[in-house]
Amino acid sequence: MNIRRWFWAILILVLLASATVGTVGLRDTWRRVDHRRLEAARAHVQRVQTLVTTRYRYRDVVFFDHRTRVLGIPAGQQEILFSVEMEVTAGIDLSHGVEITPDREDRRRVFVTLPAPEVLRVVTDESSIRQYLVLERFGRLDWLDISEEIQVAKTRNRRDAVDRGILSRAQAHTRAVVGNLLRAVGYDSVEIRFRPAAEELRG
Amino acid sequence: MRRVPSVAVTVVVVVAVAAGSVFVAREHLAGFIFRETTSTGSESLFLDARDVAELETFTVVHKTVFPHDFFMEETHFYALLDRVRRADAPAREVLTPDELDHFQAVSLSQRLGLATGPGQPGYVVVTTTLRYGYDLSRLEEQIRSRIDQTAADGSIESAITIPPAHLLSQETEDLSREDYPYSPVYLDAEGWQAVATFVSARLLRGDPDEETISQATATGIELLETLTTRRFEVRGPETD
Repeated sequence: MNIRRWFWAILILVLLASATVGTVGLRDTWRRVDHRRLEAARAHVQRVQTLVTTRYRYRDVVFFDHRTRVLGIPAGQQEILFSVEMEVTAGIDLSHGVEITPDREDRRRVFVTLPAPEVLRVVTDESSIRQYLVLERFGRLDWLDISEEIQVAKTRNRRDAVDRGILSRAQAHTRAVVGNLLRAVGYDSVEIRFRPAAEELRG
Repeated sequence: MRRVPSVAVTVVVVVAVAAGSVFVAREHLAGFIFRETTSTGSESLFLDARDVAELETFTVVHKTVFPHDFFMEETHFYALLDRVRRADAPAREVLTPDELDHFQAVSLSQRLGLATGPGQPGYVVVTTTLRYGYDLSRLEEQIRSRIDQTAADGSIESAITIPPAHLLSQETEDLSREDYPYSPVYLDAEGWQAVATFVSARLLRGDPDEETISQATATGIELLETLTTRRFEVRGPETD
């Protein structure tokens, strides 16, 4: 009889404890989600003055494999293989200062000084993603882990684009674009020079 | 003098040796008990290069919490599903645009294992940048054709009119641990692609905000006046 009483008492206690932990957990989750929702930022607007003149496109094949072992026994694996295209964009940031001075003696001649061309950004094109393989065993892939490899690829593409001459190509095309614009408004002779890049100034 | 039993001494020595061994080999033991290994890699292939002439004058950065930003208050997915089934027509013909967003966001979330209702965990914060401005090569042609008069000596006293700025590009920011202070994002590449595409499509739907276009055009006018040495008064479309 006593054993039966103890059994019911313990069962009720366990149920009450589970219900309490469950409620607290749910409330906590609810609060966390609400809190995140409040963090949703509004749209942010910004005035920019950028002339984009050259784009280099790359295709990257990315691999990620994460394995977990407990006491030497395989206890989870998340693996993915996919390709994605990226674009390295170069041009000039006009907010760094533009000097345009017409020649005093020859009104059809103008001197222009522009900021040095720079790599403005490296952008991933999500619409180009092709997933070849995905494996999620005892656990899910976290895109934040995979994004680290995408950052590595972006840095590599940026460096490769510079090695392939994206900055000199951007400079040549900027010269053509600004020259054509000034010729369109009546200048016959346009002389354009670029300020040295920060790296060149540092030597 | 009382003698310490040899069994007690043996136990103390064994425990001490065991504790010392665990202390010395704790890292190896931890590695044996629980071990995680990650291997990553990527390779790049250069595809092509192209020249453009885009004058960017204004950017708008949106932060969207998917799927929560697409949920409507007091609206339930199954009620919408029921209406679509009863109407026996495509969802886009039966539901309002906001209801359709709610319906499609829940459908996508179900597939990806994200939240399917308000207050549920499982979300992604997506940052999308929209860039507005002008295609300068096209603008140059327009400027050439719109110059009203040109004095023979180059002293031009006229105005040029430019069209309103337009959307040049949109891009979704890649996530990185440093800039993403939220929960883990349990998505694979296709899942991330689906979320980014869903959010971008909603942002690009409909006409752009008039205020954005007006600000982008104003900056364009200012830049063009500088670039054309203020030989012209550059006007926007509203003063045409």
